[in-house]
Amino acid sequence: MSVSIQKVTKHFKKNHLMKNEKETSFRALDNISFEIEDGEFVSFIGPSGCGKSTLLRIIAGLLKPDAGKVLVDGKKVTGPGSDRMVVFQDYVLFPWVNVWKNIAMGLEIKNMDKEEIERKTAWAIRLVGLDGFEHAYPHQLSGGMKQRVSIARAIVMNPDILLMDEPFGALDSFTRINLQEELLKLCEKNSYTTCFVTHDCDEAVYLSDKIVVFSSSPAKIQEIITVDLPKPRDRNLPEFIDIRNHILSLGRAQAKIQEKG
Amino acid sequence: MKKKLKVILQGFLSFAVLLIIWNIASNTGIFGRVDVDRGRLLLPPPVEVAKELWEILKSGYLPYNIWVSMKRVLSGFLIAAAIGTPVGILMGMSTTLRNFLHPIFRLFSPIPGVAWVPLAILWFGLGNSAAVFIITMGALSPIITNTLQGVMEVDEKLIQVLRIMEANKWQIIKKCIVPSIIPYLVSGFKLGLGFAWRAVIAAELVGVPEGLGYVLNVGRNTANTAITLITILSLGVIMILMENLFFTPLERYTANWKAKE
Repeated sequence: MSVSIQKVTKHFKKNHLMKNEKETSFRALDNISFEIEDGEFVSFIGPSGCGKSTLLRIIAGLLKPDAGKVLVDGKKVTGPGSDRMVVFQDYVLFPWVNVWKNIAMGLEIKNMDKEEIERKTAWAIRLVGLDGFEHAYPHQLSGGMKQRVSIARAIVMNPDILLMDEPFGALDSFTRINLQEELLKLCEKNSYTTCFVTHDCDEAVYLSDKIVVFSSSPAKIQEIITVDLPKPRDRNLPEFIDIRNHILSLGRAQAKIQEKG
Repeated sequence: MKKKLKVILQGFLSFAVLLIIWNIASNTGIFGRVDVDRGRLLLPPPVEVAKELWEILKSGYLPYNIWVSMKRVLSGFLIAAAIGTPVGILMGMSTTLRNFLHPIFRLFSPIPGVAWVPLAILWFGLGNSAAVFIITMGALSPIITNTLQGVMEVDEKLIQVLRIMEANKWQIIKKCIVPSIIPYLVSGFKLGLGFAWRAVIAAELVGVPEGLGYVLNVGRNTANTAITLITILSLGVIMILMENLFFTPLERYTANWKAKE
């Protein structure tokens, strides 16, 4: 499904630490517009606090924009829905149920019949490589495994759009690369439209068809980069490295401005 | 194993010491402060108490009165739990309801259950209903307080996940709120039950016929100090049993995932 982001602006109230300043709110997103094509993998990259996660939440329907709108296949987003499943950085699993139950939960909520729940859950578990862990509880799993559960929980709902908020940010680099490769296969196979928030340039170039580079608050789009390399990509390819270095230089200029205040 | 045995032995040793001191005190007129006969009346020696215990166990007098109090406590407690848990959950979920009930709740919650005794007797007469009413009033506030606190501390992100799955209010309560607040419910119930026991003893002391509180008074009125001592000790034993048979397993079960998350 295609996603259209139209003039989205979002303000946040300042917290009590910033009370003394004149303005009582700051702009987390300032008049953002761009398009995401059906089946496209789009990364949002930028310095922390640039509003990239905020935008993801707005697409998810968890936050309402103050101005502007998000259209999914031409229909305005008014709230969360299982056509747009979210994968969070900190997994957000239900600690009191096992892996199987965590993954099946969305299907149970939809009141599907038992056999269908059984079949779809088994499919998702196989797809993310959690075979044999069905009865484990979240606290017994490593970070990478937990994120697999979280991804399985999202894809089991057969969403059109996957929204991922720094999903691999808390993982060690080996696990991260492993999961990147698997996510790529998953997205190709099931042709999800994917929004992927990250601050890892390498990750963004490896996965994305399009990279939206944000500048910091108020968040504006600095550049939209189309990555036109065949997948799976070789991280040592000169073109790959060029794009990565380009994003890095954008980021570095930003960081300098930020530090100077 | 050897260590455990040692701990148990040391524990029993304290009882042995207590019994010896008690025995000496009884037989020496409380270490010579009163004459021996009066001393034995004020504090009958352990052997006398054991004999009396055997008598009232055999005649069924003690078990019957424990049963009477227990029935009152459990009815009052169950009513309090049945009212307090949903009220606490709804107060936690709805700001309007919370603001609406909070002033009343603030006013009534610090009132000790015992304070309701005269009013209860006036309203319901000297009987079971008065006792159950007092117990309910005593147990209600800790149950509501703890449930409310539990709901306020539910992980907001888990609820977001359910909203993305398009869960309704009832499904959110069932899948997320109830399981999250179980540890809080357990401690609320534990406190509530403690308050319930206090309330029942007070009610029975003041005049509600039968039950352990009533027996405490009988002991005093008939100069049968042994019965009073036995009743006091039974209260302790009952509380320990409730704790070990009911709350400890429950807490162990819920702490299992809570501690590790």
